[in-house]
Amino acid sequence: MDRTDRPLDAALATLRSRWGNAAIRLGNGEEPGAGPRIHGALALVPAPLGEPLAPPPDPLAPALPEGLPTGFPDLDALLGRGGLPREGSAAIRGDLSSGKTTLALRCVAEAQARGSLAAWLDLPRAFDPVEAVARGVDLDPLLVIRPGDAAEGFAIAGSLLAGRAVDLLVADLPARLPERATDALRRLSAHARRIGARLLVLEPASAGPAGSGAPAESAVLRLELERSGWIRVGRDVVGQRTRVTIAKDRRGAPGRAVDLEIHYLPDGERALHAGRPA
Amino acid sequence: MTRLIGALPEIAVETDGFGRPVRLLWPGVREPVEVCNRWRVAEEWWRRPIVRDYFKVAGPRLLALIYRDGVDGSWHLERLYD
Amino acid sequence: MRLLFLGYPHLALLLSLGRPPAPDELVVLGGLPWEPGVVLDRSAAAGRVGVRRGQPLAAAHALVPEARFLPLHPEPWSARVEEAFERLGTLAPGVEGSTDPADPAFGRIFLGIEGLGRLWGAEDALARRAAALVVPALPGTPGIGIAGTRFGARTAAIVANGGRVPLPAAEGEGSPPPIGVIPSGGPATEAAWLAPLPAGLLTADPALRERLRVLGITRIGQVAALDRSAAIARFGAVGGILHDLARGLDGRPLRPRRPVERLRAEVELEPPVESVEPLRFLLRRLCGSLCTQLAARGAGVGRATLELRPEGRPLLRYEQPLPEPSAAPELLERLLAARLEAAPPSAPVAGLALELHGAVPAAGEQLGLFGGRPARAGGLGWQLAALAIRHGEGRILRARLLDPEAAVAPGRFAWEPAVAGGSEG
Repeated sequence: MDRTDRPLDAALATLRSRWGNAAIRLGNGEEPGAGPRIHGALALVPAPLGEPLAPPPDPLAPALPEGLPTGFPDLDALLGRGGLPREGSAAIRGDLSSGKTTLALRCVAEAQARGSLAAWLDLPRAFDPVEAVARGVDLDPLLVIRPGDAAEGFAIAGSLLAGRAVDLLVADLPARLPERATDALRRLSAHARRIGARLLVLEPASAGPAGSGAPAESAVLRLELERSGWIRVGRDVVGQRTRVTIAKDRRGAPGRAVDLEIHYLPDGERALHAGRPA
Repeated sequence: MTRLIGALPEIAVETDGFGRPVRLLWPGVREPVEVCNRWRVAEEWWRRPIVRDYFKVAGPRLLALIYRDGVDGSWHLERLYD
Repeated sequence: MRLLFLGYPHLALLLSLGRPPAPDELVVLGGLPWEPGVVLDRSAAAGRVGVRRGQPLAAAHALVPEARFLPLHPEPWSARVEEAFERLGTLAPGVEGSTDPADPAFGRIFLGIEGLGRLWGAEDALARRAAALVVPALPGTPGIGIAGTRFGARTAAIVANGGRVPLPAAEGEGSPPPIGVIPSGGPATEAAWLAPLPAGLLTADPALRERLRVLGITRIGQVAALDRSAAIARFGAVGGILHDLARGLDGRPLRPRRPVERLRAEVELEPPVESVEPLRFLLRRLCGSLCTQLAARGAGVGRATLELRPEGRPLLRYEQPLPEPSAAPELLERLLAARLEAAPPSAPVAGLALELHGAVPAAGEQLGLFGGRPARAGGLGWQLAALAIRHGEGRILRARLLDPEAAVAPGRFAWEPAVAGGSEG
């Protein structure tokens, strides 16, 4: 089921020539299970020694506004502002097992660690609290919105954003949105941008062509996630590799990408790693 | 992260001669899969006994946890790894 | 000291079911079987198969899996007991009781009635008046006892019900409840009245009861006849307590509750008002008026009740708990207005009343409900309350982990309505 490995060296050389050391970080061939692992993490695979993770700062450039870290330093470096944009919506699009939910949960954990209040609009009713905790999310202050329908969900989300009740809202979209709800999502995105709130939209690949639809139209940042391979121990799949591509960024050129790894919680041993951010 | 499919929807599963899932079918998905892991859960859970054969299956688009209900033989989707 | 005791021994269960359980009905109160709580109460039938107060819910379920497990609803139950206390407070200045359903003393009410004969007549007449006063608030018929001590009054109530722990009267309904009375006359009179009664009444501890039985001590009088030091030697420090109770020397004083302050404002509407907008205007004025009084005392309230009197229709009551103690009229008004708009009256309204309950020292600065300032726990609570009114309960939730290692998903976590400040309240 894994994709054929790509000719990495040539691709690396091309990208580094364009973007410098912020381009791509790839694994150093370390075997899964060897040495300490942050279980369940969308973990950064260490960069080769001696190479900085961020492009050298331009002394003439204005200081960038603080971004929201994604929990993945390489992705944060790629985004060039320390993470997700401070204001406006970001859309994360990916297929069924692309890693987008894990990425979103790590963003929530990072926001909470910085004292922010977060809410999760659970339209597909797929939110798993046990896994969320394993990713470092604190359930106690997290609001999970489970509305009767999508339009009601966007209305509640809009109220929470408007009242500054939450600092980060993740809108997890189902495979299909009715037309009425699509309009409501457009209004929510526009509202978030207008009032400077942070909205993260999880868009399934089945929602339509990339770049189309309400989330893409109003987002200041769009990330495309695509699983590039499984991480196996024997026959079992214990994680995945995912390519994150910046498809739209108002502060930089599109097309930059980074490969990341996700490790799952062991099946049948659903013990909480309390206090250990995944 | 996995997505917990709270409603545990029933799905159609094609199996091989050994009863192992080889294809998953639900709206929007027709996915050939291979079994990565399997285990059984059997307990007297509150008022109805629960007997489930769990299969972790991987396909081109997804990694999922499905189970076959040992009581009525139906297949259900429990979670999608995402 | 003369004490009146009103006992509702299974009050939480009664409030939950709304009726006494049937003789063979298996009911356990305390939560759902997979929750990490304990049994708060159980029906007699469940008790016969071994379910006990304080037992883990999972253990109770293992004993009787077919039982109906009921969750707790402490707030409405507390409100009804509070109402009972308010009513009894019109009879006697000292009322003791608990509004916490988890408290073993929940359902046990003591009134200090020393010297009230001049006002209310004989003790038994006063007792019947008290029982009648709380009928609108609490279900069933209480066991009633009068004595000079707490133990005496409780025991008298039990004896009046034929030696059983008093049960709400399905039988005998309409006839005056029996009242147990230990005559006044001091500890010696009380000890003499208690002497022939079973020693098991002295304690609820099954192990202690067994020890008394093994030692051949079957009557309270036998405990009283022991030398106090001998009682302590045999039973430890608790032996001294049992000895005091048996001799009519229960020195535990009445601990009257601090009455909850309540503010109420009413307005008659002539002619009756048909639309919601003028009602909102009046509501705003009433909120302003009452909150001014609260603010002057540095107090806030935890609950508000809006009453509307529609023409030719029953009274409409909108009960609204507040996310935190508050004296902010605009927050109160917006929350109650949202309730009003969600369920408007169906007939012209001839009267409106606002009542604020549970005055306590005010919380900190109240944050805007819809304003531009960043909202934190206090403001979030108001917003969540307003959203719940507008969209219905159960839309905004928090997850609580139960058993992350449970083999099947439903046992791993539970959803709860979100409350500002977290699931612990």
